[in-house]
Amino acid sequence: MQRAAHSEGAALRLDTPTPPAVELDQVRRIYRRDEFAVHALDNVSLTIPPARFVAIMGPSGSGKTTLLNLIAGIDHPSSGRVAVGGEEISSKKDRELAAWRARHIGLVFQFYNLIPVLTARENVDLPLLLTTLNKRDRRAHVETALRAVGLGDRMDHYPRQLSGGQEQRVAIARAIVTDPTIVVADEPTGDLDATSAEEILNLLGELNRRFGKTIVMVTHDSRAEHHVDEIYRLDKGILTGVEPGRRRLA
Amino acid sequence: MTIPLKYNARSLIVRPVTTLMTAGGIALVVVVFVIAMAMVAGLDAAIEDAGSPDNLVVLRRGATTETVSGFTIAQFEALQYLAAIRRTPTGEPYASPELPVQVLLDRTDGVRDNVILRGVRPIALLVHDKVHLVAGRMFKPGLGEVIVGQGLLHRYRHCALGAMLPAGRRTWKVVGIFAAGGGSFESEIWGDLFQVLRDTQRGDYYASVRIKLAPGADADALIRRIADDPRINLQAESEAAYYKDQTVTADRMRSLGTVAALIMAIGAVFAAMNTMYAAISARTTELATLRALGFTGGAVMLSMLAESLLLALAAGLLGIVLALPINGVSTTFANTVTFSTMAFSFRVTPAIIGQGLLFAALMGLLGGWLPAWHAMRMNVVDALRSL
Repeated sequence: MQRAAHSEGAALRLDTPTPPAVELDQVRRIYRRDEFAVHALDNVSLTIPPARFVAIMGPSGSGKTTLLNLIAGIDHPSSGRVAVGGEEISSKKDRELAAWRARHIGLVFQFYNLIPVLTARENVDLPLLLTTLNKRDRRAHVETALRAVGLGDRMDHYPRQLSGGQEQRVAIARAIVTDPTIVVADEPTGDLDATSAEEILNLLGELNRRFGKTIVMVTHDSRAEHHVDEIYRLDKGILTGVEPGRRRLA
Repeated sequence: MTIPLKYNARSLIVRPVTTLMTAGGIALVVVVFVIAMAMVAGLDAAIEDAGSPDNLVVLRRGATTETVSGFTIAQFEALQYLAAIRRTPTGEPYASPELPVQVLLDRTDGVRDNVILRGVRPIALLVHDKVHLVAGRMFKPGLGEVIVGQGLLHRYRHCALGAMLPAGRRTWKVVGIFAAGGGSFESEIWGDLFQVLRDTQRGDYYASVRIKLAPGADADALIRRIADDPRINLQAESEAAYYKDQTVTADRMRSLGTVAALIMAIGAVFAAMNTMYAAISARTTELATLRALGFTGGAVMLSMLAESLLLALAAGLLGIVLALPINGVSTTFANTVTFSTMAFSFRVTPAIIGQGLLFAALMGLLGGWLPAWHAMRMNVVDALRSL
């Protein structure tokens, strides 16, 4: 199955001159816990074409978040190669990875991870502080991003003054404000009620369609299957299959 | 790019209890530091302000203070007409023979202190050009009259203008009050030299001579002459150098105050460290998120150090504000060099305020360093999982 996924990616690479959004080649990630070695990912190879909305699904402890962290450049593989947007990141040092993440990755977390003492506007501005934009341009970008997620009237609210769904929208605005190569989302609906979860999935889908953003989402939420192009299934650190999502089938 | 400072400022505000407790500890250290240094500055000023730049102090060879000095009237007579000494238009030399002695005075609170009664001649007012009468008149020799330094007023009994002041073997009439630019003379009583000499029954000996240099005179040459002339055979030095040697008491207080503040500072550093560790522990996910967004470990460390510094500087400002009312407060101090009581005022100078802030900043940096370093070294993957 892994091979199939890899072959599909290779075929897509022939169709288009742009490199795959994500490419993993025989990636392993082994954690040391005392005297035990935990194989979080075992020989995973996959290719995600650009401008796709994909879900990584699987039971708890299957390695979904580890895979996402590797794609986001937050973690290093024990072996194998990780490339994002055609750029190999597995050999980058921490400092280089930090700069790379700031340019290429938008992050969305299950619990939003907003800074509670900063307003929505200030939270969204954070990634832009790592760019060369001046204050006026940063402000324009922030307002555009917040309006894109439907929070044009909540810009100066603190996270505690927002609902869970609104907080996650702010997090999504923060993820897209730098126009990253890909957006990675770790259980973005995991802390939301059904209505808010549906809204967030719709929003991610819209960002993918309207702006061509590649979105890689780890989720347990079966509703996600209706919104994504592909579903990558993981179990015990092994990629067990790739299925088309219902959006694609539709 | 650095993490915005408002993040740190607001993070401090949302933890008011721990922030205030740590700030209180640092502020207290700064209060102690500023008060100790203000006292030292006041003492320094009181002692050093007594001197004039063109004055020399002449003492017995080997004497370090007037208290242990003594020489004959013949030596003074040989000295006073040296050409390098300035003269009045009538030809009187600016040479003031003096005899300071300790007398016991009753304080207004009932305690008795040693105070200096300085026997002088009227020329003393010309030689000590910082000394001037602020009330009454100069004493008349031989009439049992004295003038009193304004530092003694309200602190000791019978010092007011017109009062009868029992001091030594007689009761003196206070006919004048003098100021001396805040210097130590303001803690003295000045009376007629010959009456003081008689009362002390020491024989015909003076303790010191203050001389004012003639314009353009070579001070070093005069000092050599005073030492080498066999009729004189005394030692002279500038008043600036003489009073610098007298600041040993202030130096001791400076050391004592610094040590006390340093000991307290160690406690404050640990308090700051504890606060910053607590802050970082409570914000592990926030800091990991900042790292994940692309801020480097160095930026996170800098941010945490800035937070600690901000806390310490705010606390330092608070400490200075709390200590500021001490500025100008006058008190007395037992001078172990002259064995007498000296009045002085606490002085909170701009330099002391700067040192207080610097001291607070150092406490903040030391207290914040280790927690900030640990924040920099945190494993982002583990920290993101710590929710």
